[in-house]
Amino acid sequence: MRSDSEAGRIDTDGASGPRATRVTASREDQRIACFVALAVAIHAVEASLPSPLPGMKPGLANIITIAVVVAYGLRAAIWVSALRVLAGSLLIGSFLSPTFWLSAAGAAGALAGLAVATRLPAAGAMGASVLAAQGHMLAQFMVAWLWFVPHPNLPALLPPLLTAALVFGCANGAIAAIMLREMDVHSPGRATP
Amino acid sequence: MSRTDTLILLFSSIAVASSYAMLWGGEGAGDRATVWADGTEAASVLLDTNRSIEVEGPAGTSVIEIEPGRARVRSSPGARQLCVRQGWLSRAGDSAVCLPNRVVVTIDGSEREFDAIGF
Repeated sequence: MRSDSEAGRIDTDGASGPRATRVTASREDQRIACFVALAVAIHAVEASLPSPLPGMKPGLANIITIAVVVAYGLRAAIWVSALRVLAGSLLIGSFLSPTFWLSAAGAAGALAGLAVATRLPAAGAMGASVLAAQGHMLAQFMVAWLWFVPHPNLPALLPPLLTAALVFGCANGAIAAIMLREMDVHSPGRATP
Repeated sequence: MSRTDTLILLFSSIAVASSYAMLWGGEGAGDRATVWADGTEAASVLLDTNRSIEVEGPAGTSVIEIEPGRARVRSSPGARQLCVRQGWLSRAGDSAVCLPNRVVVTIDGSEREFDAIGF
């Protein structure tokens, strides 16, 4: 956990001249912004890729979230994930569309998976990624099923989708592990900013 | 990879494998076929004996064949024969739609809700 002194500050300079509000970005803010930028870029590129089956996507932007949760903890990962969904949807023009809600539900499910991972002893990028991928798929599927396509046979699609989530979760976990090695982060929560 | 990671991987694999058993298993079998003609219910029969139902539509007669546990559209007017080629329907929620003749066959099970909602 970070100390309060590192948090961003808002100074209101009302003493002289026109009122000016100065927002200072803390080091943590800047770090999160960096990761969000990376994740949004990946999100946008991936949105343009064709998918063999609706709902089947590698979810490469999650690599960033996985790396962040292992290196900086759940709070940073929640920020990166939420901002990525928001900024990514604004960029590709899907804000508040069904795509956006599916994306948001998926991100929430993935974070739930990550919350479980951070409570397990010594879960690394691979474990976090697999749990996030499964959580992502389940949450997204539930929204798609209950809200958009409430067909009684839709759960028959779930097994292949979960299989895909498992495979992509492993792949993303491996990539996140390589990324963390390059970032020189050796153990969870011990990253240098 | 830590041991926790290996365990997570193992549990996920088991969960995914059991999802096939649970969701692709024998559950969800339908027990009733409902035939709709031009938006109104023409017949609703249990899938228990062999019989056939003839339904008149704007394009002619559609013949629906019922067998224990399954139903199909045996013949129907219509250029593309999509509902005939749909084959046997057996699971709750399955349906065949003969659009030219405005005939729909749906299979109902005990736990059925909607087949689709459009808005």
